[in-house]
Amino acid sequence: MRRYILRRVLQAIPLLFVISVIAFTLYRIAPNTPFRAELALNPEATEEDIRRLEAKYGLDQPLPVQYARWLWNVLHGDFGRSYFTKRPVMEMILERLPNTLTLTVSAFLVSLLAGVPLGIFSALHRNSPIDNVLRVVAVFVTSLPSWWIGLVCIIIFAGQLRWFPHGGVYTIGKEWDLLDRLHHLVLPALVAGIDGSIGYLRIMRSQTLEVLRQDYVRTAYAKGLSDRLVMWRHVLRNAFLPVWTSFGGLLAGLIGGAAFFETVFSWPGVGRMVLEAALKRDFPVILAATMIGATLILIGYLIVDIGYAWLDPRVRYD
Amino acid sequence: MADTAHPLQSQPVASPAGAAAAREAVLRPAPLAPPMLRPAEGFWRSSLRRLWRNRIAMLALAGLALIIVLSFSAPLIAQVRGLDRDAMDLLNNYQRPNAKHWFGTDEYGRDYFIRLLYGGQISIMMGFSVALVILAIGVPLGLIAGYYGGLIDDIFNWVVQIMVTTPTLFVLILVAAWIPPTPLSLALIIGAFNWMGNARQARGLTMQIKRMDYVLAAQALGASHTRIMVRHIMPNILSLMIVLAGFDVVAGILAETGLSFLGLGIRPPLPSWGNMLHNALNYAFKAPHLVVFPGLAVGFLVLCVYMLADGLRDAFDPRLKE
Repeated sequence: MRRYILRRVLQAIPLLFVISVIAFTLYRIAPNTPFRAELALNPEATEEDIRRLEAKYGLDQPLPVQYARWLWNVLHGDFGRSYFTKRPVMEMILERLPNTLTLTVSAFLVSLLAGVPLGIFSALHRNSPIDNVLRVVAVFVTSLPSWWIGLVCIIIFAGQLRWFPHGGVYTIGKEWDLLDRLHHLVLPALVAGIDGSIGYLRIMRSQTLEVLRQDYVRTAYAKGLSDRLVMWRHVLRNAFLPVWTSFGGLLAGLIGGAAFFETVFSWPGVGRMVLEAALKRDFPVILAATMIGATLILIGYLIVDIGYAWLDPRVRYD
Repeated sequence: MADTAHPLQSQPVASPAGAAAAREAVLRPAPLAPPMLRPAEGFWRSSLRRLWRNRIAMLALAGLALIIVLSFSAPLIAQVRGLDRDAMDLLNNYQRPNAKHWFGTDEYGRDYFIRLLYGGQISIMMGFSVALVILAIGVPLGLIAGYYGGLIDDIFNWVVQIMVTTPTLFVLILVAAWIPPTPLSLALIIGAFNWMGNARQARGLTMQIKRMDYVLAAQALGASHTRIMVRHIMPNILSLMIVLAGFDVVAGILAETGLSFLGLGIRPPLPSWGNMLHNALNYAFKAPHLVVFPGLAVGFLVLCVYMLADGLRDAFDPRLKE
């Protein structure tokens, strides 16, 4: 297992390298440098000023040179400084990453705790009124963008009913109040967990139905095992495998989709920071966030594969 | 009775002549009425018949047709109702839905119903053009990777893995920030980052089909690789691709709405449901109807396309059903 993990980590290196080349190139083939765009609005700025700024950040160099310089610094743990805030990019991201991860992990837990039990229930009470209602609700809810559901929830639960705050991570002045933070987290986590819940509900339902048809389940019943034992040991354990496999995809979606929920809930996370940086073409920030996002996604997939071997003894990596 | 051995001759007969006639009749039976066979039904015909019988899918098709007709007759509707997409009326802004303004007015007093109809044009066009882009990228790549296998397939898988690992939205943001977002460029960008699923499916199916006897026969006859791929394999993956395209339309609509909502998609004053929502974010508490209507419109359109795609899947390939 240790060798497998090592191999996966080694495989990730060229992958990250290519992603960085693509992201770097995509940005740099943009027609204008950030300074040109910014200073175009400033009548005082001369061509020379712009050139000087570009030279200061190395933007006048050929692309491969710029890339090599960036890569060298990154390998030394330095993602550079933001063009606009002038702060080290790593510092800016690390400041906001905990917020994004809190939201992502909570949404993940919501998906799991809501989707899996509902899916099992649906499968065991197939075609019952509750199963039908759940399926119809699932179709309607997936048709709506979940961030829009978030907006409507804010209008209703924060605006009209005043049960929850409008947004943010904590009330100003109550930075260390855990209950206050949880209070702020409830609505965003529930809304960000909607898509995952429905995905898991569907997978869990179809998988449970599938496993219930298997011969080994009939054998288990035939040898006199109790319902509970058959369910836990034979049905759910097998039905859960595909759910586990889809964890990686959900994680990728949550990291990528962070910008939406962070915008809707005024959540000061990395997603919103990237959005703001992109509008200003704050290149070092976007690049660093892309690389960190990709690394997190790769780690997510690795955890999924390791967990898979643990859940399913038939799978062995060597 | 020497000839009782044969059951056909066992019945008593009146005369030798009659016996001959009876034997004749038995041995050469009168021609049967032509069988009541329906002509063999082709794959497309039978699939479309299954689709036609699917009541939910037909309802969805009707809903989709309604949205398309309403959206594209927006100029006409505006004219008939004496309203205009961009005409401001600052004295009557933030109006709740009423008899004159069915969906109320926005912060400039523009009629929200008319703007919503115009926005529908964008969503519909985006949905279908994104699906086209995805098909145009995904089908050839999947076909080539699945057909040739080996190194080409490895490269394909590697590229897909990179695309899947990249936080797509960040890159989308990056590109959308410097390419002027018109509906066409947006469709190209969104499609370029969402073809992986389709390509994988096309690849998988191609790998199955290329082992079929008729592909072997075509190879034996000396057909070129291109000809085999285009004439023998592609028609067989087409139905799956049509089904997937339905879901790509949904993805396209949602992606445009999302990007425009973040302020990176279609730019005002051209209304799209996404940028209407982006704008409504500032007035969510003051005028909730500005948030509610575009979202419901997206939901209704997506629901119709989704149910239709679901029906297409059941009609074309019942095996794909969950």
